[in-house]
Amino acid sequence: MKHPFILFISATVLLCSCSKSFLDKNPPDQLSSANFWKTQADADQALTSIYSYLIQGYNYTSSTNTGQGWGSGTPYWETMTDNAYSGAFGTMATGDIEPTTGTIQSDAYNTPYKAIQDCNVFLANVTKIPLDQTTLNRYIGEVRFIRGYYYFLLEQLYGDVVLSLRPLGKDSASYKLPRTAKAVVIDSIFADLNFAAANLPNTAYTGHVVRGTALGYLTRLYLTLQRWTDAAATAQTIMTEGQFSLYTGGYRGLFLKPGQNNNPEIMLSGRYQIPNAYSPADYLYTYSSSFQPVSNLVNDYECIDGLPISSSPLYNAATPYNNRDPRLLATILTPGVLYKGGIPFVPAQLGASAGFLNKKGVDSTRATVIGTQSDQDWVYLRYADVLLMFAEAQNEVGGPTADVYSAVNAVRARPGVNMPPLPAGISQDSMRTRIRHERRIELALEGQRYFDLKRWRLDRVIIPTIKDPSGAFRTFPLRDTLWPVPQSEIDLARTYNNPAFTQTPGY
Amino acid sequence: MKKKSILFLLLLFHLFVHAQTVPVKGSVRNEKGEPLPGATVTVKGSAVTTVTNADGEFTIQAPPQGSIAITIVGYGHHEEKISGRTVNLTIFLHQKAAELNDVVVVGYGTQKRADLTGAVVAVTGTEMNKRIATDPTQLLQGKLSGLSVTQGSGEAGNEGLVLRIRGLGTNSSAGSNPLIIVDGLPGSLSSLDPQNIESVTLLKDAASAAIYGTRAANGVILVTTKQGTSGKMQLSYDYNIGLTRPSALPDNLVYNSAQYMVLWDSAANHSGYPNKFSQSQIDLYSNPGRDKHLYPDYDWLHEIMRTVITQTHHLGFTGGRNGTTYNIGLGYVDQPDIMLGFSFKKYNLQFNLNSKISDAVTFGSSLTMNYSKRLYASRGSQDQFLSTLSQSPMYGPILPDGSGRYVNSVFPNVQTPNKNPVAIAKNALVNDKDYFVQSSLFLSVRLFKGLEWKTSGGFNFEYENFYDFKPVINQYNWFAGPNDLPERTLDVNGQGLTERDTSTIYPVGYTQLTYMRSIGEHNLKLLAGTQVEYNKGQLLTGSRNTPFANNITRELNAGPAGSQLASGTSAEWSLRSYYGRLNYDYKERYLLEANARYDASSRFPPGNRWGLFPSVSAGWVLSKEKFLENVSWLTNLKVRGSWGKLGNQNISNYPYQDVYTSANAYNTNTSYAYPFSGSNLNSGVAQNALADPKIKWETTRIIDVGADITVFNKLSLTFDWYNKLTYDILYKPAIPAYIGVNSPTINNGKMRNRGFEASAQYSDNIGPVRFSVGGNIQVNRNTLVKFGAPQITANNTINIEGHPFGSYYMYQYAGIFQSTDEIAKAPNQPYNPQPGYLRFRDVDGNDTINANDRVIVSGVFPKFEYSFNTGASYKNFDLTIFFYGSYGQKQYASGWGIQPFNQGSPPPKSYLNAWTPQNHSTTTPLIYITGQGNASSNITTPSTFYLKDASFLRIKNVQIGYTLPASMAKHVAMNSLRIYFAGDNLVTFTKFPGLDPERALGNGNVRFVVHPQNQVFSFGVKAVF
Repeated sequence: MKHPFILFISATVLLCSCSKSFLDKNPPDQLSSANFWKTQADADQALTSIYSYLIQGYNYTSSTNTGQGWGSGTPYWETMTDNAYSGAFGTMATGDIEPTTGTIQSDAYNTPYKAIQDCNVFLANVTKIPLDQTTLNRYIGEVRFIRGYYYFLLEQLYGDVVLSLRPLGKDSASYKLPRTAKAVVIDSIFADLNFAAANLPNTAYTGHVVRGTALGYLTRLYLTLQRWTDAAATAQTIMTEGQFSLYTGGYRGLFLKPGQNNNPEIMLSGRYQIPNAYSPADYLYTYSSSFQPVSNLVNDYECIDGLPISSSPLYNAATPYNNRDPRLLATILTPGVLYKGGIPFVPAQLGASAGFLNKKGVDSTRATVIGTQSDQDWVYLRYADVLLMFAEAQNEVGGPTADVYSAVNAVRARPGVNMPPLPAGISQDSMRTRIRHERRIELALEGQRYFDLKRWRLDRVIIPTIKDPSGAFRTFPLRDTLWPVPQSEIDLARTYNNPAFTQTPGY
Repeated sequence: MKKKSILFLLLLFHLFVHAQTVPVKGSVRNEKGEPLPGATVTVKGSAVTTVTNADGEFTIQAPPQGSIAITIVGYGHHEEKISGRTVNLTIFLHQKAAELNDVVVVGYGTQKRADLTGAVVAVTGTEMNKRIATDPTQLLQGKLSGLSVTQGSGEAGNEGLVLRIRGLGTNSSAGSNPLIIVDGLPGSLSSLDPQNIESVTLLKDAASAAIYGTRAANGVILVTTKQGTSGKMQLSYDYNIGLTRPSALPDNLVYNSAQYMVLWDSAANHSGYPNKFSQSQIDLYSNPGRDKHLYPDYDWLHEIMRTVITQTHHLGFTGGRNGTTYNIGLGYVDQPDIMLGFSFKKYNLQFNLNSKISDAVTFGSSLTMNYSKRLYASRGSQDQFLSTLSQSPMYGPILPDGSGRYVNSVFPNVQTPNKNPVAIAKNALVNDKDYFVQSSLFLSVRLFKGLEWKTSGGFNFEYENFYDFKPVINQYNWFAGPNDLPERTLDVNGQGLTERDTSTIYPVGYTQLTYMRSIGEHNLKLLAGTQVEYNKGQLLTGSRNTPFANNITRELNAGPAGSQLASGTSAEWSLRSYYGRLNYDYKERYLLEANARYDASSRFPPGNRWGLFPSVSAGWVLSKEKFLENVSWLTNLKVRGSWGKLGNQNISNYPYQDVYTSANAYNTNTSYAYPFSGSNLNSGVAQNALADPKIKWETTRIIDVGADITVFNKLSLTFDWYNKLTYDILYKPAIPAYIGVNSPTINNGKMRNRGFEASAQYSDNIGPVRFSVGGNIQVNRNTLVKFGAPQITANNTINIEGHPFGSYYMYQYAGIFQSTDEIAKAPNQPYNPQPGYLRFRDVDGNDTINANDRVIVSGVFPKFEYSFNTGASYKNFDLTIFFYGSYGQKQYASGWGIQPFNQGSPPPKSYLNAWTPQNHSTTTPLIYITGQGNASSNITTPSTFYLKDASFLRIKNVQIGYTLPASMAKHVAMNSLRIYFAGDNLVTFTKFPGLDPERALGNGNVRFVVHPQNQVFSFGVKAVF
């Protein structure tokens, strides 16, 4: 009897005498903000999370949400252009976008803001870490570049958007912000990109953004604003500084892993590494027909004599893929070509009613199963794009001068492509058409076409001419040049009594 | 072999036990000396039972110095010492109000039912076990007024039971689940074997629950396991075998291939979808003389849904001597699921020991050990169900060529279905093993007369091993030749092997003093104590995430090392509390109780850690007053009222702390890591949620007024009215997406649940037939009192003041467009409407249908829930019937099984009569492919078109039993034997289409397909040796 009695007395004493810290519990796998922003390692970890948005979404998450990746790198942008078709995002492509459409329409809004908040938290705190000025400015430059990149994306899609350069959420004012005028947003993007260009190291791309990356996006922003002189000058700076060059290992290699490491042409990419940060590329484009290039694009590739298929004597409708610009077969999986590690592609077997699949960035030698993990980087910006942007801007400034020719021809003549140079003596208009064509071909399925059509204001012209595999024509109501923000954002504006925040006109 | 050895054991125990008892003969009579047939006679401390015959006589095998207990409806419970009277033992019973002298388990103690002032209801294990279920929680359905038990599905071992006491108490992230106390300490009800439960008590109001302070805002369920009773060891054995099948299936789907294909083509035309079946393909399936093996009309639903046999065994031992008693229960459940491949097995040991060490010192212990093993598809039963519906009828799961290969599709140029569910069920199931221990010890010491010191401590420990091997299985075309390559591999939710170990250790201890004293007619009881709790959960996951070299070596070491990953974390929380209670009564006529608890939780910042939760309640037993004493028909009348406050702290573990985390809040498959170099993954952290550093308890205040009435000794009634207000709700409000982070947990909002509960029980006899009828009803209205401006949530619900939380908010269906003319005249609607599309009502009258035309629609919660029971006994036969119903709830149902061709799912047959230019249907829109084109965007717009009446009334259970007369039982070497037949979910009256209307309500639960409930026909034996 005595023993249990004593045991219980001691248990009781124990119960009452727990130390005060008994109630102080901290998360064992997370750092409290009070202990963060002390060392350079903290800055590195925070910076890493900011870059991770470049690969978010474009991965294998579930059978119903397979690598759509809106808001970061994704080829699905192309399905809203004359380059590709997807049954999955029909309402977007056919001009029936609504505030409640979701998927792309909401993800492209939500993802940038997550990245921007992450950037703003970084910028508000990084100065607490003792760092020398150059190092500090490099960190700030990288983060401001990413912030600028995402505001650029938002501005192109939604026009006026909420702009904040400080972390939001802790004060009630955060919940009452209006959509800032597009011009102000653009000023902010310029400020961020210019700071980045001035403070980032002037080296080749290392996985971290460098001066050239920032200059490249400045060029793109100038082009979008049709500030041709600035665009040409900025692109010229990149060319003169000489940190980048066209990749000589073959066009296809630009989009496959071994060729992507230390590639002199790549200026910004979303990097993947299996097994923890993988892309769906190999699986996504071989297992479903949810992303299909269309014949409109296929037919736009020239023959190797530099002539379109409508006039080239080398074109034979019976063997339509022979004698074509080598970029065609490097970009598009045509019927009969081996894929999935050695199986011939038969469109009907996948219900690929448009007849083609994507090959760019797809490793056809991989025997894929559902969910195969791919490590191909998503290329956001490369030197060929800079050359073509230079040509486009310079042609607007001074017509088809020799440097315009040489920029375009350099891209056409790259090893493995070897397309003949553009014919001499063409007009400025004709050069413009040639450059636009070259952009479509060179950058096909890289997510550029949608934004190119937008800035050329050709979306409203070209998109209604697209006939989908269903036989119906797409439409492009003018309101679609700017998208609606998600309905939930409007509902919440009401919740927070924020009448200044309104829906995009037309929705 | 196993069964034989059990039989042998039974025999052995029988011999051992039998030698100690003698036959006792007697009769049971009422106060007038008339015989009482149908009374249950039980040997105290054993499970030996018999029933009196028509002359009120019985014979029972009992120890000559033991006691017997007699139970008969209307006479309560009577115990009689045998004292050697083995013949002509006549027992007289006085009809009386049952239960008044019962002792009810309450927080940190017990109380006589007559003295209760709070809203407390209880059910005995015997009453619960009239139904058969593997999880005792299911057995509470309809048994305790005020408790709503919703069974999310019938999936074996994963029933998704939702317990709500008096409505959804809060919209807080702290949840609305009641606190479960097993033998005095927080524990798990689901892990118990139902046969081991002595009683379950429900504490509904603040007065009775406040002693549990911060844990009690959603009510408390107290579970007591069976304790041993003194006497020779008794052995009992229960066996049940049940034939189980789905309670309902959507039997209205088009499983005729030719019809299906024709409908598809017409749907593709309407949806602008390019891929259609050709006429020659259709011809293959419409030719009456075709090879039906090759061109079938395959019903996939009945391939996956099956009828299975469920078995439960329970072996009980009880006994004791010299002040020490024990009760041991061994349980085994074998429950294959009605869905192919899924299964659940459970092994349970209950060991209870109590010992009176001296007159002043009592020691006791209770131990539950539970092992369960569950097999299920890694994406769950709903995914398996919808994958099944995604298959079209033109093919079966396995190729017709006899090669055993799994099918992928039949005409891939037209459609590619979801994963082959049969291939999943046969090859790729998660094996989930769970080991659970809950234990408690107590030592009670009487320090001097009236003062008792009790200390109790115990812990819960749970270890779970999740093992998910993802084999590579090829899927082929239905018509594939022997050398054809597979079309694709089976989607097994990733690749390789994932193993996850989780463990939780949860020690709790309390020590308390109880003082009781009566001075004259004044009775006083005081209780004071302190409690600490600590909980730590750990998680460790290892995986290799690319395909294994083969499907035979299925351990991590055998997998490709290049894709291996490990992750792990832990979390802890702690609570410290002081509590006290005062009970006072005068002549047992005026009753008063006060409770208080002072609690601190690690989940709150140091400044806001402590919270005080008081309550008071009072009762007045009017029937004991002089002016009512002589009213003979009024057996008992008590009115009572209570007021109190309760707390809720059950939120995430570190909600007030501003942290940087590596766990990506937006995409669980990726972290914030990023490989800058392309060859080395850098780890990243981000602050992805806001935090409020000043959060505190959420408080629930409950006012309860009730009455307990018994009249004519036969009819007892209980009424309760309550008003429950929860405020400072711990909630994560939705915030604008442009903020860019997840919202913080804050104290904001008020919610009220007001309601009424009534229950009645009547028992009597007509000649030799004794019967009882009873029922209860609970009406609850949930209202969001304070929320701030309305919040519309993505799944078409709204949180708005003055309405129930999460009310439906959607477009109003206003018919089907019949002509282009009608469309032209109608308000502008998005998605370019065509004749046959749905028309929505222009609520704001601005001639345009947009988001402002959504309206609040009632029906997110039932208006009331009700149940009734009836029982009768005649001689050795007994019968009980139990009805359960819910009224006024609507369920939103969309997707597979209700919308046509969702991933190819066969449309409901109503689409055979859909709108066409020739057939101007006003009930079914034109046929379309869900997810394709404007037709789908229009028709699948969330609207009242998909809001279905989910009211139902069902015969939940019927049981017919027969107790063998003791003399006959002896012939089969038993002391007593009862056999019974039972049926569960026999009939359901509902307007809900196809599937079962009883389903969990959730913001995300908009899919029509949910694993159905089970209909069970069972046969059982209860034998005592």
